[in-house]
Parts: sequence; structure tokens; C-alpha cells
Amino acid sequence: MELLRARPRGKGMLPKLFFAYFAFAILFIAMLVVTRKNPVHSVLWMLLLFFHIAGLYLFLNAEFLAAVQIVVYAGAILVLFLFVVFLLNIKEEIKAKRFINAWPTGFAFALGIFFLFVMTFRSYIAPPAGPYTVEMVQSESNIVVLGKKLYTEFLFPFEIASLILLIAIVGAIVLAKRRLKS
Amino acid sequence: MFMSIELMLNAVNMSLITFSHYLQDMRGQILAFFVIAVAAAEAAIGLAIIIALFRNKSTAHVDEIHEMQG
Repeated sequence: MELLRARPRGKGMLPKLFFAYFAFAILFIAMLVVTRKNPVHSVLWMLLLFFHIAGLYLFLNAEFLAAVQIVVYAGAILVLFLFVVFLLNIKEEIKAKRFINAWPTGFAFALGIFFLFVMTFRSYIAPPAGPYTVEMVQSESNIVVLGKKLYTEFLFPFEIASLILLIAIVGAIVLAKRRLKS
Repeated sequence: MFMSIELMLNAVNMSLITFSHYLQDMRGQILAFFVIAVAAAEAAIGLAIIIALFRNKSTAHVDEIHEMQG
């Protein structure tokens, strides 16, 4: 399981300390996001979570994806959530009985899936390493390498992703506009 | 509920990028890129559905929307 943890490059305690901070902060903030009563607090903790996740991506030599994460998730999706929360004026959740009753089942399922993960990791056989070593990706930047693969090998999924975004734009407007009295 | 979906999608992204770093392959990062795009599209449409629903009923709890329940 040591192989699969995002080991920070560089010797000494400091990178490990930073990585440990990011990892534990992500876990803690995720728990905070789902347990707040006030939905605006949830969304604000989610913003902090996205920043920490982007920080971990920087450790993993994926700078472009860290930037995309901040711009798209923290900049667009979160603002969307905030607008909807304010628009619908959702009041604070009262701790209804049904939440408390459902809690042990969800926790049991989460523990089961975690157990499954642990068993999977223990029987993991690493395939041969690919060509994109850290040095090679850092010589030309991450964006260049990603762009080369995205526009040649993965051109078709790229076009389909743009179609999906178009459908999302049109669909969201159609669903949420008011009917004109005509 | 939608925030939990975004959390799960972020977890998948994290896993993909970690594996891409460890197996020294680029495809994990490309797939993570597409997952971010699809998550954005899905968040937009899901929230539009909630807004449309909220106009008729005045609650945002999924549990109280059971008109189509058999």
C-alpha cells in the first residue's frame, strides 16, 4: 500500500509534512461539508476542500489539472451551488429523526467499501511503468504533454465532451427558465 | 446531496491522478480532465432540475418528493 500513496518528491521532513497536512485536511473538511446544518456553510467548506485537492494535485506533478480544478470546480461549479442555495433560500436543516436513523447503515456501507479497497490494494500487481516519467513531463510542461495526447489520441472524446457541455448549457436554460405567458 | 456527488467525483479524480503519477502514464490525467468536464455539466443540469422542482413544491428535500412513487 506504500506504493500507492502519493509520495511527495524531495527528501526530508517538509514535503511529507505538507502532504500529511493536505491529506488530513481533505478528510476532515469532507466530513465537515456533509455534516453542516446550514447549506451555505457546506458550500464554503467545499470551496476549501477544492483548494486542498488542487494542492495535492500539485504534489502529483499535475499542475494543469490543479489549475483546471480551481478554475472549473471552485470557480464555476461552486458559484453555481451558491447561487442555487441563495435562490431557493433553503432554511437550516433541523436534525430530523430520519437522518439519525439512516446514519448507521450508511456508515456500515462505507466501512464495507473501505474493507474492499484494502483487500484490493493488498493483491495489487503493478504493470510495467509507462513512458511519461516525472522528468520527461517536467522537461516540457505538463500542459504540453497533456495537449499532445489530448488532441491526437483522444480527439474524439474531446469533441464529445464539448457536445456534452453544449447539451448542459441548453438543457439547464430550458429547464430553469420561466414559462412566458403568451 | 449534490455536494456529496461532487465529493465522490473529486475522490475519483484524485485516485485517477495518483495512479497516473505512479504508473507514469498520461491517460489517468486525461480521463480526470473529462471527469471534471462531465461533472460540471451534470452539476449544471442537476441544479436546473432542482430549481424547476422547487417552483412547484416548496421543499428541497429529496425525501419529500414522492409523487411518482408506486
